Amino acid sequence: MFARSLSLLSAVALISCGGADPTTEKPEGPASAQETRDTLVVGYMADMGNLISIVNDSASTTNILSNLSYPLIKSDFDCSLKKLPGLATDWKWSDDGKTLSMTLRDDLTYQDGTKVTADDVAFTWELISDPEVASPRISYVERMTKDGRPKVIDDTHLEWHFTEAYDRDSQMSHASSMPLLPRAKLGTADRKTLRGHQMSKEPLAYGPWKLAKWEPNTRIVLEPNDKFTGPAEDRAHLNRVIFKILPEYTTRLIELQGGKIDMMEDINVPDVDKLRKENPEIKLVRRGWRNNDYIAWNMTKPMFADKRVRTALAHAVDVNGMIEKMLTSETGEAFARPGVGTITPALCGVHNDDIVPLSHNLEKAKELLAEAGWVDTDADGILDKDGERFEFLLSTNNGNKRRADIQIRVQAQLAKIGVKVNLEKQEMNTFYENLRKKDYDAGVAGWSSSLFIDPESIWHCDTDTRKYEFNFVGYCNPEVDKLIEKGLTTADPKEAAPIWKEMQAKIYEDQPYLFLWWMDEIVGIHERFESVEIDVLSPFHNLHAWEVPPEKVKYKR
Amino acid sequence: MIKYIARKLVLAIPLVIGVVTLIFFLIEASPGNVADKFFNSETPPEVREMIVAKYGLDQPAMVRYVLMLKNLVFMDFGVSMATGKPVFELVADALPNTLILSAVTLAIIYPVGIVLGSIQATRQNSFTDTGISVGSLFLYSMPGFWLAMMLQLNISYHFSMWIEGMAAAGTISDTLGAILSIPGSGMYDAIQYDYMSPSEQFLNRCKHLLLPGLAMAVASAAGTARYMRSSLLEVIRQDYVRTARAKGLLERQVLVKHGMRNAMLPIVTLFGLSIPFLFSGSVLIEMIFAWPGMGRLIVNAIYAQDTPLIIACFFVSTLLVVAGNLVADVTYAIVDPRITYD
Repeated sequence: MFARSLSLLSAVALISCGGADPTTEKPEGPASAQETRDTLVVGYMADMGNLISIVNDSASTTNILSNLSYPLIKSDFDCSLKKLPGLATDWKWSDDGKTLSMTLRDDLTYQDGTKVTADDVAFTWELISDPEVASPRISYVERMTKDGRPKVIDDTHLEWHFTEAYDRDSQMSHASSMPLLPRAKLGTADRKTLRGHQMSKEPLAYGPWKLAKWEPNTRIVLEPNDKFTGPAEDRAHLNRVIFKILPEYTTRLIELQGGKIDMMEDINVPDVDKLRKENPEIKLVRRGWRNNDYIAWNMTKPMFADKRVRTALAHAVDVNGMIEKMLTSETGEAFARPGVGTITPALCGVHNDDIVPLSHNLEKAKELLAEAGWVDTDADGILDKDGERFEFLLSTNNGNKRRADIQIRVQAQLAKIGVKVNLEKQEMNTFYENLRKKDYDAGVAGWSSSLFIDPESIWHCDTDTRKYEFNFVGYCNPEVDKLIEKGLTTADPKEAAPIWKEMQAKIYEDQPYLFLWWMDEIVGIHERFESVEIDVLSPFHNLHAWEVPPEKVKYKR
Repeated sequence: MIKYIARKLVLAIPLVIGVVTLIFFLIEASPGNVADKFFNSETPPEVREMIVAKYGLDQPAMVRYVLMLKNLVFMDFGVSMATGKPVFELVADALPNTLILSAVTLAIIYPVGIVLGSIQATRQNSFTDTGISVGSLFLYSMPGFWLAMMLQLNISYHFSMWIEGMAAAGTISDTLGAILSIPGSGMYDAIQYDYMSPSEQFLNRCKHLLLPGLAMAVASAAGTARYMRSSLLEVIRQDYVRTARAKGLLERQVLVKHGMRNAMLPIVTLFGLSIPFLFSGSVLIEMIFAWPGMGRLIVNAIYAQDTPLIIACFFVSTLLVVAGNLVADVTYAIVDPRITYD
């Protein structure tokens, strides 16, 4: 009897312990206003990592951190990044393009009441440039002078000093979005162990939202930051935003359909039709072309060194057919477009729309291969040259069904022109390391594109002093290098645009990749939410402005 | 018995050392390293070197191995390389969740398995016996993750939507509707939990344990039923059972007092064998039901090649396995007085 009571007591203790305390403080504000504001519940794939911004490297953390802070320069997007005043009310470039002066608001405070000043900007970047911190962002300061990253003039004025007149969009993008760290709290912290500081779990908000709860691997709760002193129009409208951590895709989809969550990112194309039919209350939004797929040809191997061979292989693969079969819904809606480079078509002023993707043409492919010396001399159905068969290994990473499908389809299509493709899947870290070491034949991979242009790391030739690790294919075209260097040092984006277009055309002609496509990310959100901005910048753009009309509120508290 | 337990605990030490050694060198042999997470193509070489030094990756493997053993002795699990958080904290967050789920799973597997197996044995070759056998085989053969997804889809979605529909239409009361609506993910309601009373919170957590507990328990309960059936069938044919009946005892007394206790011995062995799987957490069940336990923690640590976290997780799992087997041995001795340890 006693044993049973003890075990029951333990079970109660176990079940009740951990997680939330019962009945937390209710958000401030009149009860009626709170009741009409609703809660957004997001099905989130992964938990946050480290909340100290400068050491964070996960998108799942960035999405949330950006809402706890107020950016120096706010971004909007319309063919290119548009800059709007944020914490910086005003900014000016010097004539030589090497100095950026900023004026800051003087009324913004952290949650604890201390002011946000120019010194905090300098402190944040001081930490980024300190090797002891080992920030993954350390490369951002490469083009800043040692005492100009930034230079503090006074509490509300600062200057960024750059070593050269570089592309302004990329310079400003790095600087403007980084959430600031207060010197008052972290000034005396040990930099070697900064990642373990209390602020990695409890950041000081100075934006529209505050972190109300973080239950590891369970949920993240944001509430309006009642200490926010920024513009009134930037105050949060919703009562709460709850990020429910659901790692499994099917679970997220079931919860979305069952009304247990309101929003879900990365919906698969086959589920689009199902949602349209069964859940018309879920609005489906395209997020635009941030992610692409491609096949990398290892040009350091003789088989892929010849441009004619690479072009032939591109003619032999039916990219449009694959989009139709893999990324088009049953009702005929395509959620991808053929790719012609690594600059996203979302940057419509810069993307070279004049490049016509190579046609699907088996005869042309065979012709080019024959020209390059690949003929089936021994009538075994596989092309050969100098005693070597045209046979190679196409590898990709585990756990990506779409890439596995690409492998199989490409294998079948290339077989038609006498090219034998063997397939292999590798563990993700292994696969990427092999790409970096150029220890592969061909690989199916993808990029997540940034919204400012920096093709150097992917396309520039390796030099004696610098190896470009993301140049997986060993591409080296001195003309392209010149165009990259010219484009990056052209401060005015309008002047740089034709340079980038020319660069894209040259690269496409060389066919270092078989450029496959740019994919639309599909996000589902319950129709009751208004002023929603799910766009190429962020799935939670201007989250503070999202709201629900009082008559449609679902969660009254 | 005390001497036996003490000896088992002492023998556990080389076992734990063996496991962490194997894990350490397996990680060493795997390609890539976590410092790559902090590099990009623009990281200058001197910064790369500094990052490598920070994580001790420039030390020879043997030096790091000895350091790891020393730290484990003092229970200093260090800091997670991927997140920078103390490993102890990460394990302390995940372990209770796995233990709760394991406890519930055990509470389903053994009572259900024993009862079903006993029913089958006492009604051997009847329709009930055959029906339970077929059902057990079906459940035992089912892949665990598929069962989990089917439970989630059909109970937490279809069935719960139907219940909610009936409540909205007024066919059943809202209260009954809330009780019958079974959740399919998480440890508690992410939205309303903060506004519940302590008793409501307790009931909410119990409801959330239902589906993951069932998914983890069903196949094992089916297997336990099979073992219980054959074990009890063997026992009830023994002379002492016939003697018990001849003495005029009720059939129930014969079965429970004389038969089951001896038939339980293989079940106790099964219990000892199942401990490792329960305490290491089932990563598939945890992923599907979004249960933040050890299974997910270990797998994510392996993907990130987060050495300190991997070592700590396997260290803790090994300790629990040893403890579980010890409990099984002691239970064995309690159930069968013929067994003594010295």
